[in-house]
Amino acid sequence: MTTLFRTLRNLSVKNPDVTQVEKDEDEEFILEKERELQNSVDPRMTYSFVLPSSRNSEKVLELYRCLKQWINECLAGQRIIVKDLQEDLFDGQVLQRLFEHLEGGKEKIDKPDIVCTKQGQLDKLNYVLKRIQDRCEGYHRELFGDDDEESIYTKNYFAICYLLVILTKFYDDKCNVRLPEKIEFKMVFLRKNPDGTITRQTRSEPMFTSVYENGYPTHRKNEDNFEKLYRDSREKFDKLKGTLVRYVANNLNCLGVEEEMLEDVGVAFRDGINLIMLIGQLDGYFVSQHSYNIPADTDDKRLQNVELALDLVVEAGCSTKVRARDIVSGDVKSIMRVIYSIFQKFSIRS
Amino acid sequence: MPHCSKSNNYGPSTSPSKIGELNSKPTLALSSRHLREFQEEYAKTRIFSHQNLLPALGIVSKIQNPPTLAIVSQWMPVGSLNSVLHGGKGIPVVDNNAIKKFAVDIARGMKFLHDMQPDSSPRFRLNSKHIVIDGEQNARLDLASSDFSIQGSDKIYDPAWMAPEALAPISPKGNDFNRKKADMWSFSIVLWEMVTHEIPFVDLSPMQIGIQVAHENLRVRIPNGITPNMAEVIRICMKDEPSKRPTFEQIVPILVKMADN
Repeated sequence: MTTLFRTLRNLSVKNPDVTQVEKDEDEEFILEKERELQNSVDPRMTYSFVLPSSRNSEKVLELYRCLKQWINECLAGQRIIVKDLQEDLFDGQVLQRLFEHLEGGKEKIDKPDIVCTKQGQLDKLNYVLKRIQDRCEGYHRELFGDDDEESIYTKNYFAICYLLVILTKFYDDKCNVRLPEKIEFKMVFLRKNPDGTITRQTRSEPMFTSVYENGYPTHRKNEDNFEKLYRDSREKFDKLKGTLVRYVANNLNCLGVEEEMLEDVGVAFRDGINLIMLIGQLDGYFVSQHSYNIPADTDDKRLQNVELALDLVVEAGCSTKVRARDIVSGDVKSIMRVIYSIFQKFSIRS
Repeated sequence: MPHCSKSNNYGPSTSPSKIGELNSKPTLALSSRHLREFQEEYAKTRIFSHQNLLPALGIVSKIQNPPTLAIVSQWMPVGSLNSVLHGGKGIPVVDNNAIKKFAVDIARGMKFLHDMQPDSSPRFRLNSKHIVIDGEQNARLDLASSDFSIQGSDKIYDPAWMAPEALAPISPKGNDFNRKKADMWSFSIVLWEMVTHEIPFVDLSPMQIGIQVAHENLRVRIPNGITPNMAEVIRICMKDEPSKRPTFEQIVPILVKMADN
C-alpha cells in the first residue's frame, strides 16, 4: 500500500512539470510554424499541424506503429518497405500500391510509377485518392476541405493517419493489426489573414479507429439491429444485454462461473475463455486446454483465444461475422452479436 | 465382406463418417495436402501383426457433393466395448472372467503400440468406444478410430477417459506430458468401467468433466465389492503423479496372473 501511495504521490508531483515542458514545447513549435508561414510564398492560407505533445503521446505513437506495421505487411510481397509514413506516402506511389493490394489486384491504377514533377505527383495522388473515395464511401472530404491531396502532399500527419485508418476500416478483413482506440489529436490551425497577421486556433480532433465506433460514417451501410438498438434505445439494448448475460451465466454456472463475474461484459469476454467454455458446454465437447492460453494476459494471447472461440462458434453452425479484434478490445456490441448467434442456435434446442 | 465400422467415434453424430466429422474445420476444403497427410496417418493404422489390434483396411473418399472420407475396417458384429457394457438389451453381460480377459487383451495391444517408434505409431486414444470385441471374444484396439490431424485437436468429446495432465494447460515451461503414462490413466478408467458397468461421470457434460478433472480433482470412485486385486490395479494405474503409474509392460504379467486365478 505504501509503495502504491508513494507512486501515486510522485506521479501527482511530477505531472505539472511534464505538462509545463510539453506546453513550452508546443508553444515553441507553433511560433516556429507561424514564422515559417509569415515568410513563406506558399499560396495556401491555412496550415494545420499536430502538436508535438500529442504526436509523442503514447497512443498516437502506437497508432503510428500499428499503421506502419500494417502497410509493411500488405506490401511485403512487393518488396516495398515503408520507414516513415509521412515521407513515404506523400507522393501517392506507395498509396497506389497499397490500394491495388487491398483491392486484391482487381483495381489497377494506370499511372506511371515514378513521377518527379510536383504537378505530376499531385495529379497522381489526386487520382489515387479519388479511386479510394469511390470505393470507400466513408472517406469523405469535409475534414480537410477540398484539398485532401494537398494535405497529404504536404505531409500532414493527421491527414495521412486518417486516410490509413479509413482504409483499415474499409478493408478490415485484410487488416490483422489492432489499432488503439479513443485517440485524440491535438491540432493547431494557422490562418494567414490578408493583412499579414496570423490567427491561431488549437483544437482536438478525435480519431475513430473501430469499425463500430460512431463519429464518421463507415463503409458498413447495412448496420445491424444491434447497432440500431444501441443508437436508438440504449435502455432496450441494456435489457437485451442483461438477458444474454443471464443466458451465458445459466450455462456456465456448472463450470463455476457466476453471473456477477460476467456483469462487465467488455472485460468478461475479451480473453475468449468464457466464450470457449460456453460453446464447448453447449456443443458437447471439452476444448483442449493445450489449444488456448490460460491465463490470457496479453492482447496477442487474447486474440488467439478469441479466434479459436469464433472458429468453434462458426463450426457449431452459428452465423456470426464478428471480428476477433473487436472482442479483444471489449466492444460490447460485438460480444453481444456472438452470444446472440449462439443463443439463437442453441436455446431452441435445449 | 469388409464393412464400414468407423462411425459414432466422432462426436454425437450417428451417420457414417463424413469429411465434416473427420475434419473439424468444415471451412477447410479437402486439399491435396490434407489427403497426403491423411494417407500417411492412415498407413500407420494398418498393423496386421497383433491379434489385439484391429487394422484399417481401406479408405473411401469422395472429393465432392458432399466431400466424404471414411475408413473401412473389418465388420465387428458384437460392437465396441462401450456398447457391450452400456448398450442395454440383447448384449451378453460381461462377467468377471471376460473382464479379466479383456483387460489383458487391451494391455497387450497398448504395450505393442508403446513399443513402436513414436513417429510410426498411430495416435490412438484409449477409451471404451475405441475398443471392439471380435467374434472370438477378443478385445481389440480399433486403430481406425485413431486421431487424424485433419480432424483438428481442439475438440475433445471423451475427456472422462483422459488423464488430468492431458487435459490441463501445458506447463509454462512448455514441457509436454508423458503420453504413455496418460494412456495408463485411460486404461484404468476402462478397467473401472468394466468392473462397475457405469459410464464415468455420466451426469456431467464433457466441458464440466474436462475442467473438473484437470483443476478440481474430480476422480471416479472405486466402489466396494470388487476384488481387492482389481481395485489395487485400478488405483495404481490412476496415480495422480504420472511417474508413479506402471507401464503396460509391467502391468501385463500382473493382469495375466489375475486372469489365470
